[in-house]
Amino acid sequence: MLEGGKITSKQMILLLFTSRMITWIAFLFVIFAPPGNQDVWIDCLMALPLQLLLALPFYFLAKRFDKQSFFEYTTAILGKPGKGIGILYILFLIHMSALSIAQFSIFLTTVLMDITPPLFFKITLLILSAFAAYKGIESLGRFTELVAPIGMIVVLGVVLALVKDMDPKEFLPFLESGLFPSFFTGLYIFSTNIELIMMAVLLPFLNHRGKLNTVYIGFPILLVVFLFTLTATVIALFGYDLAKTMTFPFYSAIRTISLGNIIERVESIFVAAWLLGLYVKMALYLYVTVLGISQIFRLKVYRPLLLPLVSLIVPVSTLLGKNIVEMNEFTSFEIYPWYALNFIFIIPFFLLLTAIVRRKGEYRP
Amino acid sequence: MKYRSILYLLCLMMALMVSGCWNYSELKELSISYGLGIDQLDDGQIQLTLLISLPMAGKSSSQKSNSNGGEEKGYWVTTMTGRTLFEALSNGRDQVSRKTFLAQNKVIIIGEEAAKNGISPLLDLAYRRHDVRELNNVFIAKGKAQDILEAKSEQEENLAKALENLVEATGSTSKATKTTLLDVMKSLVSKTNDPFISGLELVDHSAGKETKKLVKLSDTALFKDDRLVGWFNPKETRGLLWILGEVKSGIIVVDAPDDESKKVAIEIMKASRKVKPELMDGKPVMTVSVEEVGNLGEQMTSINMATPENFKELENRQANVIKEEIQAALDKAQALGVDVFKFGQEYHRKFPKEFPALEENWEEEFKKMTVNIEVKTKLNALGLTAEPVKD
Repeated sequence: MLEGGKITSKQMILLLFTSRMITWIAFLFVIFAPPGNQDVWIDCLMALPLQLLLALPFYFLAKRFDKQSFFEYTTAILGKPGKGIGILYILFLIHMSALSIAQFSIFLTTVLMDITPPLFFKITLLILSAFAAYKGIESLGRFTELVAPIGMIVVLGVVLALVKDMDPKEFLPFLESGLFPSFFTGLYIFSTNIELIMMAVLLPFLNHRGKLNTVYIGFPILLVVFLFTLTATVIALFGYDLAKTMTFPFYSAIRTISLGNIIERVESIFVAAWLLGLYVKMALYLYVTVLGISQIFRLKVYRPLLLPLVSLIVPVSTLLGKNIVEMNEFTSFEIYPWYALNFIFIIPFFLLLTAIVRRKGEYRP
Repeated sequence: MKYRSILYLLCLMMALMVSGCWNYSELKELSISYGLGIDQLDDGQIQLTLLISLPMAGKSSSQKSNSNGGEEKGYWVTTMTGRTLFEALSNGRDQVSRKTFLAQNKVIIIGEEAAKNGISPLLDLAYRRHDVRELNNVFIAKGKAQDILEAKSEQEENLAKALENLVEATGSTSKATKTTLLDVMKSLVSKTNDPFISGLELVDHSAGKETKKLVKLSDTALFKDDRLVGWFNPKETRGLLWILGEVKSGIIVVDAPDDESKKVAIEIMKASRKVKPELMDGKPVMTVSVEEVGNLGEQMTSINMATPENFKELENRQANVIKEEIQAALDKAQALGVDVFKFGQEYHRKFPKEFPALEENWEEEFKKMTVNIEVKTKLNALGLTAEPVKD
């Protein structure tokens, strides 16, 4: 047994939620996606049914193999080639971790500390996250239970402080270019949600197996509510035309907070809370990656893999994050979905088909 | 054992952290800028003027002024030039001995000449830098921005603070506007809206023997796209604010019902507006309806105003004055073809299907647009005296 810990469904939802939200708070990519006008908030709501529908392969796979994690049941379904799939996912996760840490360092060096070398942030944060991953899933879950509410309160506080400057008229005209573009962007939002893979890996650690449905439904709802809040805030505050010119729209929104000339310049507090969330995110990514490697190769322990993994992610992230333009191009709606959708929909879908055809796992409705 | 080694590692990393931030900056190594002036020189170079606080000098001046009323400056105004703003700023490092710190900057003043050539290239640096705040107040100087920053405020030690107070107070007159960098960004980015920015001018102020230059909030600069094309005088500015629904308070002066040469002043207590865009045979027709509630503030004639007939008459006259103000603003804006009233946006919201056709030629559409003005006014209270006090 690699990991003996268990987490509750609440911890799991918060863990996945924090991990996803942190990137969206800094880089609100939805703003730049089609339909490219004030209707982008519809996209956020559109993401919910799409996510519930398209994540079904993960759901049924988890139902079939309730004792096994994603990396274990790929082998159970496909035999030896299943390991190849597992390795593909490990490479994907390493790429995603590197991308996240590159985004993080670019965000921090742009908005707050422009002289500090990005490498310094990357190494310190990853080593600390590796320590959290070293402690196992239980401590990570508990830590998130503590940190996630702080992040939520900060975000909601920011939104409340901005309400007086918002103009609901910015949302008009409604449905200017129809619903279809929103449908596509809903798909894009779903494709950025690679936490579904984390969910598939972590589900065996859920303390009550019956809570699977809670996680499956609760996690996207929480996400969509928050993503909607962020997008609506930015649009109501700036108007769509201005919002789309910004690199970090929500951060720019926080900069304009001014309550009676007393409460101003709160963005540093926000960045501090954001860093806490990022710490959770990187710890989760590292944890899932090393756990996956050990499960694929049937290792007895996963902990010694953490530091080698960190030393791999740091150079990869330096290569990826050459500049912010290239990185935003990659994560934009034009390229990213075609890359990530393979991993969070197409491969699981075919895995499920194979499992059904080959009668692997036992289906308990 | 392993645990302990990780603990040591963490302790070592703590030591790294406590030494402080990488790009720390000590207060005594910063030149804190409060005002930023942007001018364009004849050879096309950009000239920046910085209003830099001198913390030590400011302190000693307040102590000295008690004893000998010394004229010690708490602020230093310095200029620097370059081909771009950023270059000018870094060229300035040759003369400013400390690192320029813009996070406390409160006002950005753009010279008239520079504004005529377009403001959006001049403000790009301000949006891009993370230390310049979106809540900076932006002004257009009549003349050079440098001259404005070099003038001194009589009341406040800091000119930037004085300017900030002046725009905060515009709510009580509604004859000048308050425009932050964020407002300017919003209207620059829109295809149909044109920006307006509050103006500043230097006026002579004679104090005893010597005349001093005094900075005064005046007029509103109008832009076509991002080029300065004209000015609204205070009356037209209020017309603009009526249409935008930003009138908070102010005084309306009307002729007295009995004697045209005598005046009655009415204080605006509450104002609201509705803008109703319509299309008639594909031509835009706009209806602006303003509702206003006022109080009788002062009368310079001697008849009893506190009669229903006179109140009615005053309400009508008040409505006419408001109508005039709005019409004046509309006439000038339509002549210049600048949509500072955000009419284009209203059409976009109401007629999303028809708008793309209108947008192509919005300037012409706006110039030819018929605007109906409806004003409803109400006179509410009359203060502590009903009848004028006289024998």
